[in-house]
Amino acid sequence: MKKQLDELQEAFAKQVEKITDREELERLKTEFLGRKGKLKDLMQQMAGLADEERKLIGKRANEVKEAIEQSFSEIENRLSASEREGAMEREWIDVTQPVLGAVGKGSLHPVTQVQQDLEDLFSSMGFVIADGPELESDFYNFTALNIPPTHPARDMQDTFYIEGQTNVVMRTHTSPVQVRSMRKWGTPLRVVVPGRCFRNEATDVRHEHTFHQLEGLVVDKGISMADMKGVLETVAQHLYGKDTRVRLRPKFYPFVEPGVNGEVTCFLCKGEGCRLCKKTGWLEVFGAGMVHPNVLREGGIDPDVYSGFAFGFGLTRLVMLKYGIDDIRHLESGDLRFLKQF
Amino acid sequence: MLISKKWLQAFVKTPADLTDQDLANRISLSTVEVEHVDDQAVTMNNMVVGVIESVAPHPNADRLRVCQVNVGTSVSQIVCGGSNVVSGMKVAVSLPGSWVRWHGEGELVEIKKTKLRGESSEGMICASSEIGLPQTEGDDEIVDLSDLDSPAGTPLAEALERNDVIFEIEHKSLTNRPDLMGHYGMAREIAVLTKSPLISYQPKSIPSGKGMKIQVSVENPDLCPRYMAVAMEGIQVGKSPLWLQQRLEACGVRSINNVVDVSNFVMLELGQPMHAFDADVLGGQIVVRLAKPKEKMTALDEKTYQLDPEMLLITNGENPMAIAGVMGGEGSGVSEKTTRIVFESANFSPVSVRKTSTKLGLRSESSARFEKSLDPNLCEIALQRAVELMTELSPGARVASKVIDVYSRPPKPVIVSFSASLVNARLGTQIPAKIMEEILTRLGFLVRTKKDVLEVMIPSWRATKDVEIVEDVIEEIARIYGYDNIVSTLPVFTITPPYVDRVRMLARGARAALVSVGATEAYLYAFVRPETLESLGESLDAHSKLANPLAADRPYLVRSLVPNLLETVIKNQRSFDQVRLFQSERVFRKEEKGEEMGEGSELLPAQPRMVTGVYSEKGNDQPFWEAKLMLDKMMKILGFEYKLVPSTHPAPWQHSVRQAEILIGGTVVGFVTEVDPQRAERLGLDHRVGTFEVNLQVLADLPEPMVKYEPVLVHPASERDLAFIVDERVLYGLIENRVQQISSLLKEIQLFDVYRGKGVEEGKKSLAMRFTFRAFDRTLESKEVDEEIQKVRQVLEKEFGATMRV
Repeated sequence: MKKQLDELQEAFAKQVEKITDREELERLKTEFLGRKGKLKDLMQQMAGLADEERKLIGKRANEVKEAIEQSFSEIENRLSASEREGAMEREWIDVTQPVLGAVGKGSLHPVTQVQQDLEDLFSSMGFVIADGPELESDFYNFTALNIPPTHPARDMQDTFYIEGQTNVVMRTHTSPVQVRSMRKWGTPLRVVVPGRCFRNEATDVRHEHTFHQLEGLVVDKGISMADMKGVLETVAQHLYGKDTRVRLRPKFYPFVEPGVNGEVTCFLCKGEGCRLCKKTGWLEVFGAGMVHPNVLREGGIDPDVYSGFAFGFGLTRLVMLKYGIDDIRHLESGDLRFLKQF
Repeated sequence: MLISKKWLQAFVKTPADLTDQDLANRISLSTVEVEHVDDQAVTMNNMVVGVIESVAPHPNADRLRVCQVNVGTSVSQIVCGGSNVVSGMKVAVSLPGSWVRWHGEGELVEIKKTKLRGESSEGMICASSEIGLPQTEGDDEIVDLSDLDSPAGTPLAEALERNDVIFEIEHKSLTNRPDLMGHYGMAREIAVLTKSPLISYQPKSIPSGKGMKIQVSVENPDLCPRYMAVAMEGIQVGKSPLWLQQRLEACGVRSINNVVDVSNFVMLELGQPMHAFDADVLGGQIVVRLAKPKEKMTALDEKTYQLDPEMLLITNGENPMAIAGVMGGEGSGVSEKTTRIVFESANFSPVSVRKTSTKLGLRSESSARFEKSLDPNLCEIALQRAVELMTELSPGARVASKVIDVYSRPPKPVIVSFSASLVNARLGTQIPAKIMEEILTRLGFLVRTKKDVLEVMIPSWRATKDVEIVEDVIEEIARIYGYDNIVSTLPVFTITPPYVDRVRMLARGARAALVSVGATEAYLYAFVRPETLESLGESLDAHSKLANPLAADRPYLVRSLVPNLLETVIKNQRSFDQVRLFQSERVFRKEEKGEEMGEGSELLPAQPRMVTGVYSEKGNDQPFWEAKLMLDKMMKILGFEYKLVPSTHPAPWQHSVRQAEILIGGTVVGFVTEVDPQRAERLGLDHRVGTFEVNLQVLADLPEPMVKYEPVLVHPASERDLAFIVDERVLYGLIENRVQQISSLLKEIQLFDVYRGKGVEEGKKSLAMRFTFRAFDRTLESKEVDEEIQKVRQVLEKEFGATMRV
């Protein structure tokens, strides 16, 4: 009997080496450990043995059984590990393949992007973001801004008028919202007005009758030109980085006094001088100044008590500078070849 | 405006170490913008006078010659294409290293030693346009300098006296500074900026002459505050001397004859426009009056102008001799035969000159100055200077009349007083009163300082509406003190949450939502073509119209963003199979009332902001669904629940049975529709288009949407499906509305299939819906749910004529 057991173990050892898959494993399990398996067979033969011998053989038989079971469980572990691996392997996908049927890329107009960015900046500083009519009264667009009908400044802005209406214009700037805001909210006042403006001119690579501006206005007691410079610097540094400087030069606008032009260090050459800034190192960005007392008066604000500053810049121009867009007409074209890039 | 450095130097000596560029920067930072600094000599670097020693034909080219040219230091061989080169001729030679404009066109090109068709060439013999000289008639050949005394090798700039530096001043920046529209004024400013001494301007006073009588009457002193005139005789009209020609030319003014040149010279020097009449044409009488109806005049530009009674004229008592401040008449001007002249030096109302020149479309150097408001004191100095010059240039010339001065409206001196602390408060500076006083005094203001208070009198040349109030004086102090010296601060405010514009927030949300479904935002004009509107069947009369558009093809203001979006779809169809665009802008509704106008009680037309989407794709003939999808996504993100109801009065361009109004509560907020296919085709659309438009103003006026919270349901839900057949025209929206009201346990309704075709009768459709029931306090029993679904079923059958499918 003992010999038979040894032979059985040997036979098992030989066969077990060849096992490569679960099917063979199961077959071998049945062959050796099954109800009608070889070990069971031998164990049944044990019944006819003497007690003493049966004890010994029984012990040996158990050892063989445990060894076989141990062996099976090892193999099983090995097999399932490789099976899992195989199964995972079969789940391979090409992760670089585009998602089929995905929603196409939409995009905001570049002016909207720049505008929203600036709206957030000004909101964070407590400014109201205001809007105003585009078909504006002549009063708000000109007269209230210290531009009476005979003022030469009206020449500087070629204006769209409306048939049959003498007192309305397509606003030539966002500045009419200055007096609207003063009348609406009084002092203290912090407001910016992004918006669309119109000039009656023929379009070409550099000229467009429709463009976008952002206007700012701050009025309170004791507001100074130094404050204006500080706010312009904040905006310039937000747009072009911490090292950006602002330079002011005198410039005439009827609704401010003193009036200035705000230039910023060229973001491309960092002020060294390049093609973009025409070798000057500076880019003209802002128009600004201290609000003219006549404008404050129109806004119902006493210029002897309050002072303020206003500034404006072209969103369209910022976008063109930012992306190096050479033809202004792309911006209002609705051309997807242009728009999809942003 | 062009300013000559040489001319400036007659009045101001700037520090020797100040470069031209530094000066330009200083002017730009404190006064007006200098656009260019053009150093004539620099552009003529490495250009010399050459003498041609010999000319030989080029062995390999018929049109070229090989010249030996004495350039001073050596004799150089230069290949030249000019046909007029001859031995002994003096020419302009650009040596290697110089920059020329080839044939007067394109960018500057550097001259290098080279070989032309095998012959070496060490420079270029130039035509005038190639080296930036003014071109005279028939002057396309090599410029002949044989008249010059300069020997070979003389730098060209020196030989031609082209050693001036020209500052180009940006025109608009002079708007409020008419005092700078002449060299003396500019010199006065530069003297302040560079702390240099200014040479005072003192022409000889005019001796009273005899022989001619002039009478001047000014009928409209408001329009002509001052009129000065004097007659001169013994004039010999002829060429001006070279120095005078060069002065004019440096400023871009062509030399005509000595009399005209003198008037122009005085204008460029002082900024005061002058005019010279032929005294024999004018006669002895000058009447300044408004034009009569239908009066006409032919001006110096040889055009005849129709005048109107708002235009001021200089007449000889009968006929117009000049349009005041704008242009002289053709007949009364100075000709070769003229021997007696009358110089006019006058001051005209800026508004009147501007109106007249705008109406006539006639702009001149004179009108450009008058319309900016001039100092009446200039009249006298200018007249003195003109007489002085004329006497100098035409030796026999003498004053032949009294000096006439009709000066009915001398301006009162303007005095402004303010405290130094006010200036500092406005600027955010701490400039001592002493410094302010010094700055203003340098600028020509008379200043009296008492402690902190400055009382200043504005100099006449700045009292031209430029400096009137304390803010103007503050600007003077600030710009001379230097804006760079203002140390920036940030204003301090109390914390208050800013007002939030709901329309803007909605537009922002809508934009984000539409981008997330793949739409691209377009910016399109507020103006639309009449053809587009007509193709869509829209009434032109309902649209506001521009009175004077330069871009005349789009005169109408949009009432909806759809028409221009459709146009854009057409443009994009060439490059893209699918177009999904949106725009959010204002539209213009003239019949609805909008915002106040600031004065009076009238209101502006309403200008609500819209958000509008369009969708079109090759092969998709029900683009309605994609338009609705965009709308749906947008409304969900904005938090609004809406319903679609087919409109009983769709617009003519809407697809009559694929359109609906968008309703929130009972309010119509917009529409979603397909474009009528026939109109789409007429418009030029290749494929069908779906579109929606929502009025954000209407949306903003609705109560803010709120999420209705219910306790989280912990008990499981039971679902039941029903499939049933109804008539095609039964609206799903109505079914859903009705079914929602049947059972409080019914929490969700979902349409998951719509089927037409085999097994469903023509004109009918099969809907498959899933109903989800739930109670918050218990698990529903199957029986309970069956009862509820039975109710639903009955409603469907009874109210909608549904037949259940098995």
